[in-house]
Amino acid sequence: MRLLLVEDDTMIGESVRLGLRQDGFVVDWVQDGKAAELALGNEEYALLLLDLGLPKKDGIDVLKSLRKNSNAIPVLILTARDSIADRVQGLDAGADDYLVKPFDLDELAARIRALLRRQSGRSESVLRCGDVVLNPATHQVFQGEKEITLSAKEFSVLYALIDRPGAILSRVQLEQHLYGWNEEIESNTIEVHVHNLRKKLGSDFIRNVRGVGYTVAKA
Amino acid sequence: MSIRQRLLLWLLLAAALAIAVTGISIYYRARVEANQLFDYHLKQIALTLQDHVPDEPETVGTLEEEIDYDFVIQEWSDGGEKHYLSHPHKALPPRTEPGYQSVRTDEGEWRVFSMRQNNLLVQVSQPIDIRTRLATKLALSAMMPALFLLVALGALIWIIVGRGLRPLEQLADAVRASDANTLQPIPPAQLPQELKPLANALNDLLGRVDQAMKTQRDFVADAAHELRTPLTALQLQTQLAQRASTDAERKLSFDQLKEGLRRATHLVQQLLMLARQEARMEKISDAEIDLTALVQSAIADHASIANAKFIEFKANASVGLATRGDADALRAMIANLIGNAIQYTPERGTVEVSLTHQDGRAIFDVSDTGPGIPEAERARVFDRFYRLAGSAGAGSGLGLAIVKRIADSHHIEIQLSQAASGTGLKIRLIFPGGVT
Repeated sequence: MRLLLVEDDTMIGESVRLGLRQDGFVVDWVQDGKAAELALGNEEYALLLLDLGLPKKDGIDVLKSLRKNSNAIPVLILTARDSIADRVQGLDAGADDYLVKPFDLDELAARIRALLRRQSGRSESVLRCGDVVLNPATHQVFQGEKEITLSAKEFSVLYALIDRPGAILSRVQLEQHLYGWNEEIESNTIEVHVHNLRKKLGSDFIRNVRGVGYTVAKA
Repeated sequence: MSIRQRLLLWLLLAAALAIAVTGISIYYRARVEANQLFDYHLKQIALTLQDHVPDEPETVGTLEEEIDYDFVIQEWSDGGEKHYLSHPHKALPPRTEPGYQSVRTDEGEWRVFSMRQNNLLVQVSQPIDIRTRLATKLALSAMMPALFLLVALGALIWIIVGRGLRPLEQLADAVRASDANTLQPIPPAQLPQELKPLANALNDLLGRVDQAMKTQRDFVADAAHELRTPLTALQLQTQLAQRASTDAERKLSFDQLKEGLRRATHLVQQLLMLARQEARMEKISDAEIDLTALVQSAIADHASIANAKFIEFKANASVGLATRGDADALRAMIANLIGNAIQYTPERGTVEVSLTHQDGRAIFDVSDTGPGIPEAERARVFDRFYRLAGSAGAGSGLGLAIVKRIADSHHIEIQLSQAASGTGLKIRLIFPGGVT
């Protein structure tokens, strides 16, 4: 899952990016409101982590213009403004959740997962597709009773596909899920990961739609 | 003693004094009148004795009032022998020359009138005491009603003063009602004219206290907000250190954690410094300070930091410059300015520090080859926690606020401009004096 982090403080930004990457998220990080809008216009993100006190354009303004343009991306506000009035203002401006600094990395990851779950209309914390069960919190995948061991990248590809069963995701779309900015994309890497996943989960679990992309069957 | 008691006491004393003065003046007036009257009496009695037969002394002064007035008649023959005495006394006046006279005997003072009649010297005399007693009686009887009035006056003063002071109690109630958090000004409309200056002064004070408290509240709110940022970084860095699975990761995490701690410590130090400066605004110490030595030691303190960044550090401090003020504060101000310049200057840049003088005023300049401050933002950089866009996390956002506070309290002028070398910043401090 690829997230956009907007945080002007270098130390916090670096730590959040590093921590979330360990939780299997791909995080793009910008440090001001204008750059955030630019990134949101260019890439597709599963979720936006938004600080409020930002240079150039305030977080609340970024959020408001986002919602005005009917962008329904889940937004989690990360801020030091802790008064009730601030929280109310943030949520009313269109945020889906509000986390006050200082916060815990595990809690942040859990809240992100909860928002993503809600976004895809699921009530369960695990994703199911046929006999395959994917747990985003523990990074575990089960097929029936058997646990399947996957690499981080393989997990991400499977997660992206299972999150939207029936949808066809192109190679570029899958790459976007896998790599943030400044990360070198290895050529043929998606094909390699899909090949490995098929080997582990059965060759017909992921279908190749020639010339378009990959999909998993809607259960 | 309350105002009411004090007013009662002094007003009653004043009234009593007025009554006493009246009594005394009545007494003296009465004495003068009595003297004239009785002197006339003495003469009249003497004259009535003209037809007196020396050999047959008659009883004179049979009139009751004349007995009361104690007129004594004595007659002496030419030979000096006492011929007649109306009634005896313990100590009678001796024989005197004709005319009025005052004579002192063992019994006190006497008023005497003598005249020669036939072959006799007739003398009529009266103790002065009689006259004094009469005048006293008159004065006392005139004062009596006034003394009774004094009691009534006291009661009246007590009531009137009480009523007059009621606005004061109302003012006290109004002040009492104004609690520390709302500090409402006292409405001066209903107050009497005498209390308006007091109410205005109080309102003025309340306004200043309110402003000070607001500043303090803002400061605490700002500080709480700003402290969250380094604390958040610390918490995240700690968590990452915990999660680290390899030694290399752990080392990196701890390095970052240390940097985070350094930043948090710096922020707390700067916050305390600013709080201290704001608190002491009014009463800075006024010691004689060797400005040259102070700047030289600040330069020495920063040389190694500049060196570590390969920054060319040009420093030059003219000797013999001095100023007055608080040494710790001035040292902090100079250190902040030099520290800032080094921090914002990229590696292999140049920082120039100089202490000179012009027109009798010491001038301290710091210029760097850093990013500088756009002209539009130069006024705002002195606000606390104000950071230039893109410089988040680099500093506490307090350095220049601290510098400004200290400069203001020492009447030092600050000028920001573009450094001559290019884009960097030049900060100039102009001291109120300096050349001794």
